[in-house]
Amino acid sequence: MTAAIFLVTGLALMAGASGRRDVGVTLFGIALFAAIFWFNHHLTAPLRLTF
Amino acid sequence: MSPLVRFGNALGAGGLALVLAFAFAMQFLLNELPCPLCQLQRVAIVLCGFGFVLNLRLGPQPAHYGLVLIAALFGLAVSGRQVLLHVVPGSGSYGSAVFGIHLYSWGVLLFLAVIAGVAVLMMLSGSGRFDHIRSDVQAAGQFTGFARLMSTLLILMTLANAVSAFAQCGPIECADDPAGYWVAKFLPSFMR
Repeated sequence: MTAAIFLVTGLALMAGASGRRDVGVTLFGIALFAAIFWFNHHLTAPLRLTF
Repeated sequence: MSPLVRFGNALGAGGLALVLAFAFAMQFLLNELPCPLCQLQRVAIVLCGFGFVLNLRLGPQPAHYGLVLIAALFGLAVSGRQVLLHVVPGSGSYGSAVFGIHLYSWGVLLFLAVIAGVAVLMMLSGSGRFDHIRSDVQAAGQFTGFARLMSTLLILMTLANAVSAFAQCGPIECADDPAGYWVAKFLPSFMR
C-alpha cells in the first residue's frame, strides 16, 4: 500500500514537472487521500477504535 | 518569477530530497528499517515537494503553496502522533537519535520549517507576480539548471522509496516493528 502511494506521488511529480498540472494535482489528491486513509488505519486498527 | 523565489522553491524541493536521502542512508547503512508511520512521513515529505515542483515548472501560485501546506499539515499530524507514542518516559523510542533527537521529532521540526518557509516564499512572491498566464510561460523557460536538477532528484528519491517500500512491506501492510525485508523470503538463502 505504501509503495503504491509513493508510486502515485512519483507519477504526480513527473506530471507536474512536465507541465501537466491537472494530471499532477489529480494524482496528488489520490495519493494524499490514500495516505490519510492509511494513517487512519494505523491509528485505529491496533487499538480497535471505533467512532 | 524572481530569482530569489525560484531559488527558494528549488531549495525546498532539493532540501526535501536531501532529507529523504538521509533517511535512506540511515536505512541502509545502519540497517534501521522505517516503521509504517516513518514511511508515511516520507510520503508527506514527497507530497510537500510536489507544490515546489509545480512552482518551478509553472510559476509561483497560491494554489501550489496551498498544496505544500496541506501536505505539511498531514506530515505534522503523522510525526506528531509518533512523538506522542514515545514522549512519555519509559515508553521507549524508535530508531537512533540524530543530535539527540529522534527522526520523528525532526519530522515535526521539518514540517514546521516547511510551513514557515512557504510563508516567507508567499511574501516574496507578492500578489503582483501571481500572474498565471505570464508566469506559466516564463517559468517553463526557466525550468533548467538547479531547479530542474532538484526536481529530478526529488522524483528519483520518490521512485526509490516506492521500490524500497515494496521490498520492505510487500503489497499489503508493513510490520509495526519491521525486522527484515518482505522480498528477502523469495531470495535464495545466500542472498538474504
